[in-house]
Amino acid sequence: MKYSKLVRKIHLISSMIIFSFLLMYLLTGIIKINHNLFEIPPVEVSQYTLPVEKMMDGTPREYTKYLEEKYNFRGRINFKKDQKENWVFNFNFPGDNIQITLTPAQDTLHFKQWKQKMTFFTVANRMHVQRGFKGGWAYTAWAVMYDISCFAMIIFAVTGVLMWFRARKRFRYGWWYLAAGILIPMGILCLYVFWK
Amino acid sequence: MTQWEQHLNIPDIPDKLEFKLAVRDSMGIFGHAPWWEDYIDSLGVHHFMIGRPGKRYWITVPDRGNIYKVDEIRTGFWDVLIQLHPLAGGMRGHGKGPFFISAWKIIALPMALVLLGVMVITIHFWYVRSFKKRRSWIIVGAMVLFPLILLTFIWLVG
Repeated sequence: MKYSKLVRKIHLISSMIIFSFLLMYLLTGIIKINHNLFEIPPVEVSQYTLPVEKMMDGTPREYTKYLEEKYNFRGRINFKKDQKENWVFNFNFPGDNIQITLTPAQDTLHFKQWKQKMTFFTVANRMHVQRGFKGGWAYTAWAVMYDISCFAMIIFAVTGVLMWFRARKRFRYGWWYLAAGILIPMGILCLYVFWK
Repeated sequence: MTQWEQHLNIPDIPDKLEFKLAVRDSMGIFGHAPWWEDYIDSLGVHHFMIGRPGKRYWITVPDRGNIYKVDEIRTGFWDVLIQLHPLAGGMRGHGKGPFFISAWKIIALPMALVLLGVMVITIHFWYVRSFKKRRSWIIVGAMVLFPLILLTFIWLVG
């Protein structure tokens, strides 16, 4: 296959993948924006405290694994040490978020749970911002689809530039568009980074 | 991290968020005040955070007097990149800031339109080249239906 034909084909395939992703992103985005059209179930908050059965003597990642297995939690995990020196572990799953706080003395585990009934709106809303691979095969598949789409966007951009470069004499202003597309967002990023 | 202090005369404001935003504006910084980054320490001193892409300010409210202490933390390039992504719609609630706060919204809009253009052009190419091919319908159908089925599955099964 000729080089130019191959690049065109890759460009088209990657655009099809982006199309599939964008369709979902737009659909969930429209649902998110028009949230007033949907009945949003209330969030039920419950809190309880349990004594510590196992101290955190390793890394916080290891302790998160222990909590996940011990209490059968699921979802995306993150952890941090807050300003009061507590270790805070979060398990985020659509419709079910749990925050566990381990005190500096490691004597109590405080559980705070937010539960929301799974409706079409809550699922679409949360899948729009879903991150990570945890939560079961369906979530992993969603995350893989997400990654493939992002990869396709890079391929689409690169092949687009390659196609333009071969025909640049016919599209003389391409350099300006390319430079503007790269330099303006980079400039804004740098302003945020270095602004006093 | 850098630390600095500022002398402020903030009137009594009962609403917590309004108070934090008043402190922010008086300091001449910009950013939002997340409700979860707020605590009272064991000595009864109130601390809260003002955050914006690139910086976090941990502010200590004085128990007496009016000298506010600030821990200023720079968060770096990746944090800016990650935080600007969902801020494409604008930085509402970030207060008065420099010109580039609104510039990002203006830049994000044409970028979103370009992506929509990609969708339209893709459909056009597909229609011109593959509309009559059965294989093409199967591939496109699978690509469109897969995420829809996945979303429905998560909704109904969990």
